[in-house]
Amino acid sequence: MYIYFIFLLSTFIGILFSQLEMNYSYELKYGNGKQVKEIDGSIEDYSYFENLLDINTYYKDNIYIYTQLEYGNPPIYGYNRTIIDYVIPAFYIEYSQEYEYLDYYDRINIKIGDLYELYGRGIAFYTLQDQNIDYDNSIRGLAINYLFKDNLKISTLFGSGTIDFRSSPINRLADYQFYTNAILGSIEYETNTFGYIQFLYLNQSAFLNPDAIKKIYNSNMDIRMDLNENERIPSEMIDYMLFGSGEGYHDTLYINNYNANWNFMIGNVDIYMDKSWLQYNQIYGADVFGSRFYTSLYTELFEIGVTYEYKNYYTPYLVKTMSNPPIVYREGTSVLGSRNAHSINFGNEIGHQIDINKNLFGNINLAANLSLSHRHQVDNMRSISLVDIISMKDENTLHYYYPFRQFYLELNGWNVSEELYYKIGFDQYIEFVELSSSNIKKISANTIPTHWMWKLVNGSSFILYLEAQEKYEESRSKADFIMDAKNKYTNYYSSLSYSHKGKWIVTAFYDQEIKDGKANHWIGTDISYKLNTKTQISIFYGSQKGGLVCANGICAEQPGFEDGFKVNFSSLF
Amino acid sequence: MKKYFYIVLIFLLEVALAVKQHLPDIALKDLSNKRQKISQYYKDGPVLMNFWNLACEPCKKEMKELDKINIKYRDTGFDYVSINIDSPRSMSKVKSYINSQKFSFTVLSDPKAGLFRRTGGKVMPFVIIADSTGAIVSQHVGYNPGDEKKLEKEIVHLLGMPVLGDTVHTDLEIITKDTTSIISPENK
Repeated sequence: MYIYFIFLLSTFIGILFSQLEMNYSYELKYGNGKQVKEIDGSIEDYSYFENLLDINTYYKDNIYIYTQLEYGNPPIYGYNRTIIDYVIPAFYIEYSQEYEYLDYYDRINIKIGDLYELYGRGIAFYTLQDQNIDYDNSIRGLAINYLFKDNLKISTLFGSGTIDFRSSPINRLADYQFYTNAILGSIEYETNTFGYIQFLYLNQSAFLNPDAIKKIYNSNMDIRMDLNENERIPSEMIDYMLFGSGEGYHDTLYINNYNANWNFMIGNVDIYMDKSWLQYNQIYGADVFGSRFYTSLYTELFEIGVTYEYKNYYTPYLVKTMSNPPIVYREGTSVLGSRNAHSINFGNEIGHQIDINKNLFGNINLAANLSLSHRHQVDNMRSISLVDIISMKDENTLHYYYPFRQFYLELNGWNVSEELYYKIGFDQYIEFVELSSSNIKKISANTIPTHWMWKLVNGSSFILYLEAQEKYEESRSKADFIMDAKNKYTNYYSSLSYSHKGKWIVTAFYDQEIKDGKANHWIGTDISYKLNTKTQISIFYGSQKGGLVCANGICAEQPGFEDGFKVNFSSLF
Repeated sequence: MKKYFYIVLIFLLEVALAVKQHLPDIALKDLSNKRQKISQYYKDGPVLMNFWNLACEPCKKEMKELDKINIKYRDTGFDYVSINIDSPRSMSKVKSYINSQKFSFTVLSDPKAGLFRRTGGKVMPFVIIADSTGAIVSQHVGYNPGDEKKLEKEIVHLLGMPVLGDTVHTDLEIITKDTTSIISPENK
């Protein structure tokens, strides 16, 4: 009886609010198989069951309500979400109103709830959610923007929240968190002559509990070195961090961020500059000054699109919380190429990227990218130049800078009466990363990713991915650069799909890794069926190699999957 | 607490199923930073919008096919608008990519993915087709070669043109905005 009452009531409300528009997106992920543990190679059961429902509700063009519901028992990453109090990871209400006048307009925008906001290019404030890597650095609060006469915008934001982190990307669960609160004010002005300029001030405090400090101390993060070498830390705290005994202390960090960014044109060159000055305190320490600078230039020369980006980030001892500065390198799109991800240091890195696009003869596209980065010079490190990073010749000296270089070249296009699509690339990757307090690791890889698609006349098609990679990993002593171990990996990846008029697709995967003459392989098959234009189901059976999944420089390790099946269902309604 | 949750869920589902979605009359900026009202694109006929970002490889393949459809039908009142949902920090690379491809269609930027969500988008490639009143008549998720034929059929249907077999429309057919008649090789 009660449920009928609810139904009638909701019908009535539905009629009453007929100006409401809503849409939903539902996604189900189920997996049941085995997992190879990275640490000791042992095999254990691995399963997940994740349900995501996004609800978008609109009232006219003014009010928008976003609700995300998640039921995960367990999800692929993150905590179990099974009880009603934890199934709404994201929610906000937004009100917008535009006032149009004869030759200009005003607009107000107010948002309450979980705030996902970007100011400038994100070097001061960029909160986002990425389900694929279980990342969410939003805070809960209020944001107000007012635009006067089309060109002057005043914004404010304040809120607080808990941000979860992983001390290592191989953790399936975030293992420490910061409680933080923030107040932000911003003013933007745009003119035809000078372009667009913005000033921003962010005041933030972050509370670290003893457990968070302990996790940082035992992690691979750079600020760990500061804690390690620092004599100001009470001995009881050291005992607590090392042995879990003794007393742990908490600390509150205060951060002031002053940011200015400017976007303007000189001729046909589009220039963007963004600078942040930060004043903050170390964990248990005194005030520190840091800065972040980012610039980009875009132009067209002889019908070649050229983008150049530069970053210079120096904020030692600061944990990145509400900012997500541009990474200034290319994140791989091929299966094997994306397994080599640059481990960006947002607190200490200088980098350059040049990206080129050119159309040749109408049906061939050329894309090229060169990305470089290294740490700042400190103490008695020998000076280096950009040429040293490009050439990577004097590794004995360079390795103190943890250099990174990636070169990518791609040709793609259509041929044979536009029935054949091809993409052939070459990816060369070199990076030095810290392995332990006494050792570094040099990773170098050459990858050739290819992608082929053949369209048949009846609307069906064959899709083939073929990739090959040769990769070396060397462990070297930090002090004298002597190599103590070297491994060679040869990887092959292939997948072949047949798409029958876009209605159903069957795919076979083969992934092979040869290390020291011993081959491992992962084989799988997948069938996808489109129930209608908005609903699809796919079933996978077999094994899949694990690896890093990265977005915006943040990575999470996807566990390997052995002898099991996965079901994915997605629908919009 | 559970009770209230189910009440809200039933209510929301009901409203969603009962109400037809419309394109909101908002303005987005084009790649020259000029504000463009969405309503201008469907005032003369149906509009097709695809949502994409630089990391979406199938989107790029789809855009090439949609470009051909745009060239074929743009004189009939039909319009194709491509909506990029990359954040402002990728805008230089978006411009570089679009300029290198020499596409015939308009590209607008939806950096907060507001229109994308409003029209029901969650994953890309995502295509919507709206009629001349702005009512969304279909949504398509994903792209496989051959899908463009189905999209073309829908557009032809909205334009009130006859579907000629499996190939919906030939290049020799001549259509103007002022007339609904079709001069095709068969009825010339």
